[in-house]
Amino acid sequence: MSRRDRTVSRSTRHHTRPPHGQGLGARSVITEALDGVGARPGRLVVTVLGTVTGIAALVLTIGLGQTAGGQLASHFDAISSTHAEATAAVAAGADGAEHPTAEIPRDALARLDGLAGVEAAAVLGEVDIGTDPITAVPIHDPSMPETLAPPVVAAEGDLLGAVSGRLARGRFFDAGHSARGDRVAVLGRDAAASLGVGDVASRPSIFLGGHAYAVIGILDAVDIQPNLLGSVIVPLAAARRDYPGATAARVELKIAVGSASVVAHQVPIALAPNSPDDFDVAAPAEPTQFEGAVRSDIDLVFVAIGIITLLAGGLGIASVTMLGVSQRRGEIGLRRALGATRGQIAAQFVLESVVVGLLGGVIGAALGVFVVVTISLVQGWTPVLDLGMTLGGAAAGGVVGLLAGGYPAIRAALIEPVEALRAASG
Amino acid sequence: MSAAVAELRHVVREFGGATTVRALAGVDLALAPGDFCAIVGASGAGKSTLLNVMGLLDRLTAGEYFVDGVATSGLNDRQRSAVRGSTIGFVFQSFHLLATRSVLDNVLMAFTYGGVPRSERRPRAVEALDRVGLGARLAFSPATLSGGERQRVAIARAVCAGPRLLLADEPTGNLDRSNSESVMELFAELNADGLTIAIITHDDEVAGRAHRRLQLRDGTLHSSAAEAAAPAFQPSSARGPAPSDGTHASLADVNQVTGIRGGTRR
Repeated sequence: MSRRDRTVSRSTRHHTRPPHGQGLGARSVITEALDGVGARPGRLVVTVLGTVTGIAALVLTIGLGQTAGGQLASHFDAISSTHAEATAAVAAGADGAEHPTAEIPRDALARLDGLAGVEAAAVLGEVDIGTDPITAVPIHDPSMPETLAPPVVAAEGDLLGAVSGRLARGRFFDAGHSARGDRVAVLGRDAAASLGVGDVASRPSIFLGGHAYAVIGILDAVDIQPNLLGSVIVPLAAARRDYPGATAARVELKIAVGSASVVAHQVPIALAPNSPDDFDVAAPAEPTQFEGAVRSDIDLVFVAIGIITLLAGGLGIASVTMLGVSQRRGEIGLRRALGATRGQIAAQFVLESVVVGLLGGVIGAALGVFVVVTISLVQGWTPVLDLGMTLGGAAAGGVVGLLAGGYPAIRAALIEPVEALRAASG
Repeated sequence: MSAAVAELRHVVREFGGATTVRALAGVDLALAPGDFCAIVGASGAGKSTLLNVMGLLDRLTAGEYFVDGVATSGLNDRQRSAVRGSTIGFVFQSFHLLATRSVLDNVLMAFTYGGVPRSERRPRAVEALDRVGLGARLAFSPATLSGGERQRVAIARAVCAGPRLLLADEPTGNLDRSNSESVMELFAELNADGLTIAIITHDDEVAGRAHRRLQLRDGTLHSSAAEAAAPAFQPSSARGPAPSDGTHASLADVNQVTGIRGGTRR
């Protein structure tokens, strides 16, 4: 500040101002901005709408995602509290790939029998049948189109109980089939459809590498291990006879509620008393990964809609503020005459659009929360809402207003006072 | 005699473009405290430009303008705004009241950018409105007021922050005869209280209420003979640039209403 500047401020203060109160008038500018926003209620409603819609869409999408995720988790909790899966621990082998460090012992089921908390147990493993076809007819017809064979799963024990499965038709194989090594099979719902097997009353056969397996049941649904629905399930003993490499890879357990920690502790000891660390017991893999993937795509669409609407809302604020700047040239000129600096004019318009944006954000976030709660109520869900996300939505409206108001505010500040006053009086 | 409230020295204001227009071509003018000066002239003579320069709303091309003895050409936007807010009051032909706010709020706007403490603002605004005779209309909307009343609100807004200089640009331009007279009466009263006033008008009767009367023609100021008889604040150079025009000076002489001057001058 030069000497001359000081002289001016001293002389003006001397004549017209009390010794204190030389502030920038920030509070006054805020008051002016609020008054400016409230001056045109009709226009305010239209301006706010875009932001309201955008923020509401975003909060709704994220809130519904969280709520649905919450339901999924509680559903999954119910399954994981009653099911467990024991697998051999894996370690990196010489070839760099991971290999199991132990095999499921052949008498695994006998070892697990009577263990506290275990209600049903079954060992199972995928059978590598190489290029063998699986057909419902014995003749190999070269003119038939090659179809992908369904996977073959070898199992022993109470698999139906262990995966909480339900049969559409027939029955499941039991300990007798296993002991005798009978060639019987239970088809998953989807595998039965692809093989053309509809009924089991006539004991249809499927041919697995030239061996006839009698289909005795069709699996309709499972709580866990949904890939069983697309598989051909055969007794482990029969599979070992036809495919010597067939082996059990894991143990599926149905457990009593509340016994998970006991089971997780005892099962590895029962399977391998000398080296219990060779086995891991964990909750089964989440059964709804596929659905989750679909839902996240839908989420993405909603988020995109929300962002686009928000952009439109921001453009709306920008254009209405721009309109306001040109309509209020006289007011701008007057304020400059009353002593407003360019910065104070810019601050007023920016604040006005921030207030409009914030208003839209708050209303939009409230609307989004309301819709999430309503949907949850109708669906019987527990609404799950992140407070930070909701407040963030409201704040995002303010940011939109800030960005949208910037350019018009600069334009307003750059108007020469003479021009502004002339335009308004002419 | 104290220093001039506002003083222009050889002020030139040109507007650029394809051809440069010289709105002010070397104006010299000094307003002493308590001066009441009318500036008349044809449309396009540069009256508004002169007032804008005096109000620090416009910048000079050449010359210097002093407010309270301080040169203003080196001030930045913030400093010029501060001088406007604290020292100069404006009254416009079109009033410039905000239709969405009450009479009182319009007057309170004068304090928005100044340093007047919050507690003093309302009493001072009410006092100013009382003074212009609108103390009973504080909550009214400007839209419900007559033109004369609106201009009185604008005058209250212009004076409530205690300016040293009041600039009025055709303040009666939108008013009928009786409203004009009451507004001019108000100006005379304010001047009688010591406020320095410069007023632009094309109305001879309005100009007649002022103590001094200056004619702006082709960007230069010409004073009347009566003006020359009271030379205290009129730099001699103001008459220099256009010596040929004696006709107008004598016309201005005739129009000068000396009685009012004698009655209100302190």
